[in-house]
Amino acid sequence: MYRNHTRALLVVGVLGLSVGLFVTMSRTGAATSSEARELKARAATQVEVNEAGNTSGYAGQVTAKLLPADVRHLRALRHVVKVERYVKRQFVDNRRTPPTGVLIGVDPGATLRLQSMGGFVGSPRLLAGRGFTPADAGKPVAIVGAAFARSRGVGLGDEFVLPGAEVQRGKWIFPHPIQDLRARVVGLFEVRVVYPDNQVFVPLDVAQRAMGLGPERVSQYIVTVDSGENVPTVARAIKAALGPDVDVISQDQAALQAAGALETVSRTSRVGGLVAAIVGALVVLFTMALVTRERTREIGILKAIGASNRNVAYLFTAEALALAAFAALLGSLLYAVAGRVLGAIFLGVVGAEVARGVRDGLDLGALAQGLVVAVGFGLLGSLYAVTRAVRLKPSDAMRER
Amino acid sequence: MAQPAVVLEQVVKQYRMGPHVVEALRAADLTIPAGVMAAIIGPSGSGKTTLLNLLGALDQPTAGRVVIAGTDLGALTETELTAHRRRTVGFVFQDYGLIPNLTALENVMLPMEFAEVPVGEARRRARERLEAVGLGHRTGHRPSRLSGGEQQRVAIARALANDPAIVLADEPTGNLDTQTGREIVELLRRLVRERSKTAVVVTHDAEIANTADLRFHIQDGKIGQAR
Repeated sequence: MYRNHTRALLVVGVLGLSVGLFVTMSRTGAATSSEARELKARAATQVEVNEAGNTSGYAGQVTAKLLPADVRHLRALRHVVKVERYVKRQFVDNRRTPPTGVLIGVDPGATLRLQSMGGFVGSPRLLAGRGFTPADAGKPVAIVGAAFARSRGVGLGDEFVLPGAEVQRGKWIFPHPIQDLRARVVGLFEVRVVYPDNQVFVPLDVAQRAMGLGPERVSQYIVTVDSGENVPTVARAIKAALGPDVDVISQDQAALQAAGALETVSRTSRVGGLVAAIVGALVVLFTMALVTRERTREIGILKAIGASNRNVAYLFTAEALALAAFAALLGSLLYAVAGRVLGAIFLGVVGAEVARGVRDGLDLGALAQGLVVAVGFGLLGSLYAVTRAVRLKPSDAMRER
Repeated sequence: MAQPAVVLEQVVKQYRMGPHVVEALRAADLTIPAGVMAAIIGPSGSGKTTLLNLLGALDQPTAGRVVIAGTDLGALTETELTAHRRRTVGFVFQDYGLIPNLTALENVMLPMEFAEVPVGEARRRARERLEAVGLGHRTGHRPSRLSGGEQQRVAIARALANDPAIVLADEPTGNLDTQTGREIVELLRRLVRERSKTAVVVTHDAEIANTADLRFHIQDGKIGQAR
């Protein structure tokens, strides 16, 4: 095959494209499928409780309030498994890039929930350090996003100051500023999306102090219900218990719709991957079939000078596998590029974790997947050619010119 | 008396071509003693290549016995036939049959690789064979960089790689000019004599046939001794 360099390059190119498409599609499929599962699970069991009219859950933006007693009411309701408390406030520092971020107070041990302009966007995966423990309550410790850490030149173990009054100067003025907050970084996360990456988690009581709020004053509860079918009952019970000052949002419909869309993307990606795999195997199949036909006399000569069937099979399989290895390399590089492009597209459509899953580019897993797929192509595609070469009678092969 | 290198007894070889059966060899008998150079001459389509394929265990007869260096090929399994091709016979083809992307040295090493000769030993032996055919200075060249005569010399070196008892040459001068053809036949004759081999050369060139120790004529599938 390598005797015709143009053909070899062409075959490697087409096969590499197939491998790249397969890896991209299957990675996209896996990332969207896992996010869809997570969304469904969450949608089925979680109820969001906000101050009335406060859709983003930022503290101090409306006059309605969640009262200290509310959490006790919530925890007392039937089917409620867990109540997680959050207090959030935006901050702006025009001297830094990005200027806008969010300070989020959470109960130590509660789920870290990143905020987008329109609401919850996903949970971050820690790159370094640790999550909060109950021992962190009241302590000035923080888990910060990569953009926040970079713009302030801080890393794990470093202290930073989020200056209160000063950061509010600029064209965006928030009515409820943050007071000076000094904290030490104990955890770092990165989702590679600017706004979520400029967010800071601190223990709930630390955030309350920074925001000038009293103890137990929160801006959002996330209530986890024991099963999906009890969510409507719990939502009604919350509304009845807390009255008109709260908005109760069970995100079933929206989240299920989002999950459905993700499942469609996932299915389409997997079908695309399968088609790419079939095309790849066919490319090797036809190429190797052509090569064995062209080299029929050579096969005869090899057998005449003592090659066993095993020698001949090894020769053609090795050629197909070498081809596949080059294709795997090319395919992985294509995936690295395609993954970034698709990841960027997904950022505007689905959760940050999906975008990250697709966009993370060339890692060992993708390389291994590309190699396994390409070797599969090589073995499957060379099967016919090898079988034909082995079955050829030397005298018949020698007659070919 | 030493056993003959080649014995054919009442060998028949038939081919089916559509509804017709073509008889390439008809009850052919042939005995070639060891250590000689024998020429088989005959016109195109007379069965020369069929005969050579049978001697080289590339094909099996429809009937009769083929005994090479004391071994009845009809009694061998497929694996044993492969071993026979590897150890007992060496082939020289009209079109040289060299692998284009291997160097002269690698081409000569190939049969030894199939015979699982250790690489170092195979390399040493391949160099010796190439020097014996006068190509010690061309070991790193690929076939496309060699002349026809040089390629045929490489093919002869390759045929001798595993030190076979018999060298089978199918029109070895067919693609060469007269002078080069003479040189190749002389080289083959010298090498088989020096190394006590038997050579069976199929040719349609009477002049080349005349240089052989024994000459056989083949026509319409029958073999007879020529004068």
